[in-house]
Amino acid sequence: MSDVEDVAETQLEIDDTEGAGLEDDDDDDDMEQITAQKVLETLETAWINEMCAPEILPSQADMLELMVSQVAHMEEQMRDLDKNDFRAVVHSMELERVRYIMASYLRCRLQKIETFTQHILNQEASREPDDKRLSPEETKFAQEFASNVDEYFHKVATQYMPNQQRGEAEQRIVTPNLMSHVFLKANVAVPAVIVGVDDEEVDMAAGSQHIIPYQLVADLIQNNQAQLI
Amino acid sequence: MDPAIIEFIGEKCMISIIPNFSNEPLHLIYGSVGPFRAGFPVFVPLWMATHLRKQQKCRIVPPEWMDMDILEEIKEEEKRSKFFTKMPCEHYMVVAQLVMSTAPDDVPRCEELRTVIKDIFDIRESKLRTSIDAFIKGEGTYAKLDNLTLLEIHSVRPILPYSLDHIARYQRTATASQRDTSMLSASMTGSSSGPNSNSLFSQ
Repeated sequence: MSDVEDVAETQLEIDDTEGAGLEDDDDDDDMEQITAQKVLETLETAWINEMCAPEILPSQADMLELMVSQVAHMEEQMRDLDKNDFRAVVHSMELERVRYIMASYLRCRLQKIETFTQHILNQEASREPDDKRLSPEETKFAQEFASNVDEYFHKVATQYMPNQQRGEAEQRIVTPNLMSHVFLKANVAVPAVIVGVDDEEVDMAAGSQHIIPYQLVADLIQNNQAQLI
Repeated sequence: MDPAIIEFIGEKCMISIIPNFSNEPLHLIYGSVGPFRAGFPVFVPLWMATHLRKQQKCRIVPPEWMDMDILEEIKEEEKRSKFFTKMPCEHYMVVAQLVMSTAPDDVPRCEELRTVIKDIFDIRESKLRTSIDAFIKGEGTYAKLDNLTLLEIHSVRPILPYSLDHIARYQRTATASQRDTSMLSASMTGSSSGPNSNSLFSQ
């Protein structure tokens, strides 16, 4: 009976080096402890933020990896259970939900990478290794996607065109509109946020909701002081 | 965002059910629920409640606010107030819709409740439209949206941010062409770009 029960409570451990930049700045030298519940909440917030933000946000690859192994672990434990067992049904329903969040999150990022390929690659190139926004897999995808698109265009069209129309790669870069308006909810009280023209400032109370151009609050979202809705 | 995603997010709300079976607590990733004891109410996430109800394994206890008197009061308050009042639940439409469609028998005066909830929603929607109209005409770029629920925000998502984006784009073009043609600038400031558009959009 108790084989499934304790699965979700297992404490997950992640390497401090990989987990750097996550919320808990524990001074533990070796390992950082984080519960599966916390991982799921982080992922969920990241998923919603990603869906609402115009630009690509820092990847949550570490969290995803933890969640994937958690899901696999639970499935492993559930294998012995009868398919019609109440617990098995509920657990597998939850796993489906978790899997949906993860898949939707990744799909959303891929969509952005496909749309803003060149822009994202340029930005990544100018970033320090520590604040890269794409995971290594996504970087690989973006590079291959870019070169494939270029090659395809070259094959079917640009090679037949006069020279001056070829060298316009720079102009073809699609960039996200960072000034697009987003809905935002403050997690904590944030004093003096510049909300628009003439450096007008507003204090956001915890839990309050606003509509505002994305760029003005981009840092709040990355610091987890606010989330998009 | 898809309405289905709004529902997905709303399904996380906790709701009370009365199971007709007993079980040990379940340790879900999202947190533990239970223990289940036949006949005793227990809080579970809404997605689990609707599933169990479909399997005839429980009765759903309607949330406290799903009550004629309370809702009538909210409706009156909503009519009186110029601003949006606080809703009893962050996802009231989703919860009401799911509970009433899966378990109409568990909710007393279900049909009347449905009507009054729809009324509240309609009042809020029309208020929202009026304020959006005023907001866009006022050429703002920022607004506070306290007490609006996710579904209501979503209902204006196709129009509000996009129209604001477009206005911002026109303003940027206007400021750009102003710089180009200093001749025209005098007349442009008066007409197309708002009084306080420049500093922000020209960056």
